[in-house]
Amino acid sequence: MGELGIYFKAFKSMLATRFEYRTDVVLSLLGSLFYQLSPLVTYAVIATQVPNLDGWNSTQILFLFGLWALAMGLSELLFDRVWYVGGMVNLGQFDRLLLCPVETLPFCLVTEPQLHSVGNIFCGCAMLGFAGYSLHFAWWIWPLLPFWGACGAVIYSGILVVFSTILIVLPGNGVNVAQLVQQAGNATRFPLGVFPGAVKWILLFVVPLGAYQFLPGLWLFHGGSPVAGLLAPPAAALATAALAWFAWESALNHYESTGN
Amino acid sequence: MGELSLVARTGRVLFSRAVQGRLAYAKYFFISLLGFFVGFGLTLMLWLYVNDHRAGGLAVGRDDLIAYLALALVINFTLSLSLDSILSSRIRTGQVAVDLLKPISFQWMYFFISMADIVIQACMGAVVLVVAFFVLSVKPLRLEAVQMAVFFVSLVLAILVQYGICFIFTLGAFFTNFGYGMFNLRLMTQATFSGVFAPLLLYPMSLRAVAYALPFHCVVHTPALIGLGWVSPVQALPLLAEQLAWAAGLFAAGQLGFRWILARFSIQGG
Repeated sequence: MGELGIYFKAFKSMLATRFEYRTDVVLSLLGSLFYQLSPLVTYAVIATQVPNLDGWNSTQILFLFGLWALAMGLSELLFDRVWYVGGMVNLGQFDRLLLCPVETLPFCLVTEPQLHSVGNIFCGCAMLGFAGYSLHFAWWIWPLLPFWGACGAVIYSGILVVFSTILIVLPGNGVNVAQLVQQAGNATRFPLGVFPGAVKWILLFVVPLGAYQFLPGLWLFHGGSPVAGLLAPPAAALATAALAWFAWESALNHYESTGN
Repeated sequence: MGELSLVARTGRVLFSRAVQGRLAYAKYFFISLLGFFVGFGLTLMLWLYVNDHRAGGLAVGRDDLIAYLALALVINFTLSLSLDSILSSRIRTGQVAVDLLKPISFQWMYFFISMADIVIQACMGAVVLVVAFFVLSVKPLRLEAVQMAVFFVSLVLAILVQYGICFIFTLGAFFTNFGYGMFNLRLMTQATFSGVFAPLLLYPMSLRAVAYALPFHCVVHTPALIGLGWVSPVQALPLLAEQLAWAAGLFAAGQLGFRWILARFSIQGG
């Protein structure tokens, strides 16, 4: 069996384990629904105050909400273990991972698919479907949506990996570091033009969580560059993935087991 | 009397051990605070944009809004509990059986442990408030003796309400293998309706009615209103009564829920 086959088998068996717990399935789906509904409610509060944000109307903003939900859901389905790196280091489980005869980063990432990812993917598709229908998307835009979502998942997970390497070098409680990235990602639900230039620049170039939905949105709705809309998301995804790999390998070189 | 002193002694020991445990990972409180700051900064920027682009501005003045959000940030950070993760992992691994042998009520035991989070976070939050005091043009706290005393009482009641909410949601760990669903149900409802995102005054009527019907506004919005002096000490009395009612109701509901669960579940291996 090739290395890819091992990843797939591990992923499949973990997913089957998750679906064994039916109450978890229901509550996880409900939890992800709330995760997506809550910011919509807070946006509704804003929408009662101003008719649009930086020229983006509610349906166009829903496009941003949808792509973030889709990217997050795909990340939770395919790469979620990055959230547990701190805990694995604390409990000594990280050592076990290092003994596996496969590349540690992809194997680590794919072996924790989450049930709530289904809810986030569903919410993302529903929001994108509604936005696309209301905005009369041309036929060729529809296949680009999952592509942008996949780029977003790689970017988001890549940044999470980079931040999680802190926990490999400096063992501790763990989850808070990832929450920092999630907070930044939540901001990209809104058009980046509402933030000061420095924040916009950071969210596009330093932590490019805005590259896969804001730039395509700018192209589709506000006459932005089609080159940026089409090429920036995969370019940012590739750059983030490379950075994540480099950071992971460097962190492993500085890793000390909990017993030391 | 003997029982009370036993609870107090046990509680003090649990609290001091929990503080030591938390301080061992002190740097993560700073990362957590940084996370809250990122959320606060982004929310603030969003609202400032809305204020600047709305004809006539918002119903709450720009500087008042900044002061409100700063105080709401500090209260929300101070009152964020790690009870969900600690207690649910003990329930799932069966370690809760050991807790039940301790000479103190289960609910009070975790209350004392949770206080460790609150005390450490309150110290950090106080530093943020002092900085905010010098930086902001509208002060985030009204420094009058009576107002401060009422604010302090409101904050204590907010702690009790927050603990009551967390405890009830954490009981879901008896029925689940993974905490995400229950945790997010609580966290996102709280984020939406506690008033940490904006003063409830800015909410449309329907959403405001929902927020006032739920206990979450007693955790952030009520103490923030009192702390800022947006309500006088006399006007605050019914708000304190509401907080007290929610705290007592949630505590009783948690106790009943826990008893009901204990009567139906057996600990792993038991």
